[in-house]
Amino acid sequence: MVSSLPTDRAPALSVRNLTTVFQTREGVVRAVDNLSFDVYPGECVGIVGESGSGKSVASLSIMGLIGYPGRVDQGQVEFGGRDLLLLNDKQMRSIRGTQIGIIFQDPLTALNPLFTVGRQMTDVVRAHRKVSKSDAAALAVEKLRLVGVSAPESRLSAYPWELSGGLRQRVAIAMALLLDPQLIIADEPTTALDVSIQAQIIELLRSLKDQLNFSLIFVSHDLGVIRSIADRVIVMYAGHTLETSQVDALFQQPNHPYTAALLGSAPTLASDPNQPLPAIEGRLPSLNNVPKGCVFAPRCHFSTERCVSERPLLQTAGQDGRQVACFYPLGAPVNEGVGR
Amino acid sequence: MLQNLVLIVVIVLAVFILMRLTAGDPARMSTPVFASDEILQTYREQFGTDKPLTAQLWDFVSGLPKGDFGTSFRYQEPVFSLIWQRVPETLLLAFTALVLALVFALIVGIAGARWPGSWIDRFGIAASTFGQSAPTFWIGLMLVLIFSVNLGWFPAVGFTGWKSLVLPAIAVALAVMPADLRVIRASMMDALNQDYIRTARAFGVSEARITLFYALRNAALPLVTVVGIDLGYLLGGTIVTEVVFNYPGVGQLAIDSVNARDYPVIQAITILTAMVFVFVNLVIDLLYMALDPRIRIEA
Repeated sequence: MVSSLPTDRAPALSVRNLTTVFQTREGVVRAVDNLSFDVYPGECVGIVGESGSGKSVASLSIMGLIGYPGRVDQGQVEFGGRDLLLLNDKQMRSIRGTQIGIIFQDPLTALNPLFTVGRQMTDVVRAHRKVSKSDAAALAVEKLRLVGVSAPESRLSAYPWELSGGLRQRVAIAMALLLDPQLIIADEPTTALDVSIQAQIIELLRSLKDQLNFSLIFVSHDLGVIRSIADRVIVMYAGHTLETSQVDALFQQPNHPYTAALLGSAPTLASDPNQPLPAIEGRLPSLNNVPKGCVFAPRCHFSTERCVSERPLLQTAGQDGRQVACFYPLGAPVNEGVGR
Repeated sequence: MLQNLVLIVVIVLAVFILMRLTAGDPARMSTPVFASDEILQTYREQFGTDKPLTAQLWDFVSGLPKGDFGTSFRYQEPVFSLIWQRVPETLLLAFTALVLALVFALIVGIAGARWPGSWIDRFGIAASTFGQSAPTFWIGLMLVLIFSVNLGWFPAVGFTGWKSLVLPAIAVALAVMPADLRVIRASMMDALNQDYIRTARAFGVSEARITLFYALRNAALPLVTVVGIDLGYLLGGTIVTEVVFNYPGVGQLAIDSVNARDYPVIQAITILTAMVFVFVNLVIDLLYMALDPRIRIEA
């Protein structure tokens, strides 16, 4: 079960059997079901999945930001020698922003429209450190410069809506970096941006990661984006982990039919513009009514009776900690690994 | 600005015409029932109500730019000073009530938004439903019955110091509080669900600061709007309470003047109230700009 990446270092973050549920009118819904993964220092783990796959809920669960009607039902989130899920509000608050930073999807709504950039950044500093306003502002300027914001001093007095989308996201990144956290969670940080700005932001995050050596969890629905930044990738679907792999290996040979279908439905430069893009038929199952067997079975071309009646567990498949939850994984070398 | 001016002109005309359409002759109201036609005619000449309507309208309108609202039929005093004497009492009542209503609505509304469904939230909803449903005069009478007649804690009528203020202020506060409470609760709930609140939380800002600073600042715009509406209501709407408690304010004067068909006083009170309303709205627009930098840019 446990990801066994060959490494001599201890993971910066270790998530085990994380299950987050939401209480709805129709009953209890499992938005994240039994998620386990490690993030090593300086590593970028990508979590990919479509809307409703549970990827954002997973990142919010790690930060302890799941509010009513949701709650983390079980699991451990080991970080800095402690299980974050066992901390009280005050202890958790002292970790947020200082040891774990977060970047949200849409910087326009994620930043408060009535406060200036400087006010919001210094507020974060002063929530954790007893420093003067000018010292806090100096730190904000330093981080804004680090993320490539020109004339950072003058940006402090700007309101978020006065900045361009790319600049706003840079501000959000600078805010996440303010207190030098060891782990950054980026929840779809490029989704709300233009494609050209996307590339800039991804490049920025990658160079910052190399420079500052923080760990990064990068959540996205976009496999191309994940490929360009992540070292390892977790494929989520309907709250379940279907596959986890080194990023190159995943793109070379997807083991799970869902991953393969996902890759197949992305347009490439080689695809014929006159042919319709292949799409995955059917829809993501409602979380109220998750299939009893494999969650992807209803849409899978390879599904059998066994897939419908029995749920495949995540099993080691091949090398480098690769795991797949499928009875009939794709790719020859993998078949030897499974089927035990 | 122009639309405000048009508004005032329409109100001036409306109040003038409505008063003349009301049954009852001011001269008859000011004289004994057995007064002869000659006496009535003397009064009418003195009031100017014997002149054609257009002439009466001109008399009334021509004085307005100079701030001359005419002379009260009943008191034979300049209308403006008559009203001016009553203003402090009404202002005192209005602002005491507003402060009471706002303090209650802010505490209960914010707590209700923060902890929906909690006992304090349910208490707030019950209190606002009660305040909204129960007529002000009935609340006034009940307060008098309980606290003046039965318990004897406060005077029932008149104005004899701060104790006379308590019951009328509570009665008026109960009338304006429900709207305040609902608006504060709803706008705070909306603000607390915004992404930037989640951001603040994700960066370790304390819950108290998130609620009272980040969210409340964003909920302030609807709050300012509703306080503006309150002020309008309070400056005209303390009438019922003033009558119930025989409280010597502008509202009481307005009712007495209507009963006596004292046209100049009614016209003046209506116009002044309208002007205050317009002014309050202007102040609110300016406050918007102070509170929301986005509006400042557009302006």
